[in-house]
Amino acid sequence: MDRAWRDRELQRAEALLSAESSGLELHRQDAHPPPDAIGAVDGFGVVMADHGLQASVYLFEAWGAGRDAAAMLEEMTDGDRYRAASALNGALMLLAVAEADDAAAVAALDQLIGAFSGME
Amino acid sequence: MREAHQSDETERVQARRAPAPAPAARPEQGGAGLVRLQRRAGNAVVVRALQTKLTVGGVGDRFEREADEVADQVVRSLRAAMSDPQPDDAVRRRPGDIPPGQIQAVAPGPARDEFVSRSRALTGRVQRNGDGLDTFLEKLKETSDLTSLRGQVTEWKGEDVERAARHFGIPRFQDIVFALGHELLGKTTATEMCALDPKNPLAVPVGSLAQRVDIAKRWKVSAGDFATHLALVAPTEGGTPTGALMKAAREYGVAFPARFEAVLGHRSFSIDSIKPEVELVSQPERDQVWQDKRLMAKAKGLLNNPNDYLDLLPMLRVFTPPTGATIAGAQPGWDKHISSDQVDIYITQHLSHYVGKLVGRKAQGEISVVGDEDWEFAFRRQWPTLDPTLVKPNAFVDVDQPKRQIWIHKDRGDSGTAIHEGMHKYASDNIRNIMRVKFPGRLPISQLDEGLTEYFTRLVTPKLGITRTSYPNPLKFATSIIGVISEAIAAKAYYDGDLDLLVNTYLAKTGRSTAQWELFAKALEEENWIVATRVWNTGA
Repeated sequence: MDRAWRDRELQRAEALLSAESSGLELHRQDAHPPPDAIGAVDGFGVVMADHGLQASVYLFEAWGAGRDAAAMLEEMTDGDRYRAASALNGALMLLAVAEADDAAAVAALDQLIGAFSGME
Repeated sequence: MREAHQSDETERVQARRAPAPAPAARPEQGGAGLVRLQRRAGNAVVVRALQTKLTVGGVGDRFEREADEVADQVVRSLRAAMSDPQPDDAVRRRPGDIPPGQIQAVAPGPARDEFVSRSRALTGRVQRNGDGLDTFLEKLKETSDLTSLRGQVTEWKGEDVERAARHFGIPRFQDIVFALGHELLGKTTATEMCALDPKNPLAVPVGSLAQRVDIAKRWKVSAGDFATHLALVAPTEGGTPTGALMKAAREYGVAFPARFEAVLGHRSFSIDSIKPEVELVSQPERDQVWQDKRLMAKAKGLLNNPNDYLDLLPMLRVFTPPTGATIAGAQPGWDKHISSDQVDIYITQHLSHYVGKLVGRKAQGEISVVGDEDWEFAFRRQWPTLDPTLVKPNAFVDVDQPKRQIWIHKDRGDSGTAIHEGMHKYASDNIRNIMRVKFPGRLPISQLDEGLTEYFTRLVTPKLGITRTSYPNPLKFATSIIGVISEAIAAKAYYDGDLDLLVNTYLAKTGRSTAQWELFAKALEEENWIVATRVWNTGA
C-alpha cells in the first residue's frame, strides 16, 4: 500500500472527526477492536469525554472494503445496552458505540456518523 | 535567374552533345505528343527518343540542323505547356489524369528514380546557389516528381506561398502544396492558399475545409497526416467552428483521440461546438482521451478558458478509479462509485412517479469522478475562498457555475454518493438558493435541501442494497416535514423548486405561524439540532 496515500487517508479521517467538522470534543485512543483483527491496515480510536461515546476508525486497502466488517461489528454491538452505528467513506470505516441510556452520547453518535460520512 | 534564351542555348548544346544510340521510334511533334508517349512508355523511352533524334555529326551538317530543330521544337512545346496550366481542368483532375502539356507525377520504378535524382539535383543547385524563389519556381516546372521535394520548402513564408500560387494557378498549387507535405500547409491559411481569385470558390472559408478534405482524398493523405494537417491549421481557422473541424476529421477516418487533439489549438475553440462530436462517440473512445495523461495535460495547457477544461471532464464522463486495491468479484458500486448513466437508470426506475415527467434532467454527462488535481481545480472555481485541503467534502455540485456539474472525489464517499449527487441534478436548486441566502449557515449548502435530497436518495439506495449514513440530522427533519405535508407535496416542492408550496402546506397542516417556521428553519440551517428539535416540537 502506498504510504503517502495511507497517511493522507488517516489525516482525512482525523479532519472528519475534528471539532470543526463534527462539533464534538473527542480524545484519541487505540482502536477497539484492533485493525488487524478485522482485516484493516491501520486505524485509531476516539472517545468523548464525560459521555459514554467512543468510536474506532479503520483504513482498509480498497474503497468500500470495510462494508462487511462494519455490518458485522454493528450487529455484534448494537442492542439494549449500547447503540452502535457504522459509516463508510471511501476506504475508511467508522464504528461508533454509545451507551443507550446516555441521551447526549446517543445524539453525539448521530452527529459523529454524519460528520464522518462527509458532505456531498 | 538565367535568361530564357540562355536556357534554350544550353539545352540545344546539351542535346547536340548527346551520344548516338540505336535508332528508336520517331516521337510525335510537339509537347502533347511527347507527353502521350511518356504516359504510354515512360520517361526513359522519351529520353532515348530525344537522344536518337539528336545524333551528333559534324558541325553544321544536316544532322546538327535537324537536331537543333527537334530540340527547339521540344523545348518550345514544353514551355508552352508549363505556362498554361488550365486551372479549371486541374481542379477536377485526379493524379492519374494528364491534361495536354502537363507533366505527371511519375510512377515508382527506374524512370521515377531518374526523375527523383534530377529533382534532388535541381533542388540542391537551388540551395547551393542561393537562387531565389522565382528561379526555384522556374526549375520546379521541370520537375515531374513533386513528392521528392518534400521538406525542401519548409522555409517558405506567406508571401512565398502567394507568389507560388500565382505562378502555378491556384488549383495546381494546392496539389503541389499537398505533395510537398504538411509542413508547408501548416504555414498557410485557407485564405493564403486560395484567396487570390475572388471568383474562385476555394476562397470561401467554409468551402476551404471541404476543399482541403477533397484534396487530401485525391492525394490519398493518411488519416494520421490529415489530423496533423488540421492540428497545424487549427490555430488560424477561426472562421470554421471547432466542431466542423472535428466532423471533417471524423468523416476522413481520423480516430477520436487524434481528432480531439487536432482541434485543441483551434483559434476560436468552443467546448459547446465539439460537444455533439464528443456525444457521438462511444464511451470506450471517450475513455481513450481522458485516460491519456499526456493528452489531458495538453488540453489543460492549450484551452485558454479554464472553464473549457472543467466542462470537458464531465463531457468525457471522466470516471477515475479509486486508489488502492480492488475487491475481486465486487458488484458495480461496491468497489467504486456508480457511473452517471447507471445513476439515471436507478433514479428513473425507482422514482418514475416523481421524475418521469421532468424534461432534460439527467446525471449522464454531468458527473466527473476525479483525483486530487482536477478536484482541487473544480473546488477552487466553485469556492474560491475555501481551502480544499481543510474542507474535504466527498462530492459537490458547483451550484454557482452555469452548468451545475457534479464533482465526486475518487477516494471518498460511499456507493450511494453518485445517486445523492445525481438527485441534485433532477431537483430544482430553488430551495437551496433561497434557504442558504435567507438563513446562512456554517457551510455554503442548505440543510433542508440536503435533507430532502437524502430522503429521496434513500427511496432508491435500499433497493440496490446500499446503506447510506450521510446527513442523519437533516434527513431526520426532512422526514418529519414530509410526515406532515406528505411525500407527494414534498416531491413537488423539491423537484419543481416550489418552497412556498412546502411552507404553506406545513403552516396549514400545523396551524403554526410564519415566524415559527422561520425560527425552525434558522435553527435547521445553522445545524443547531437541539434548538431545531425544540422548535419543531413546541413551536418556540
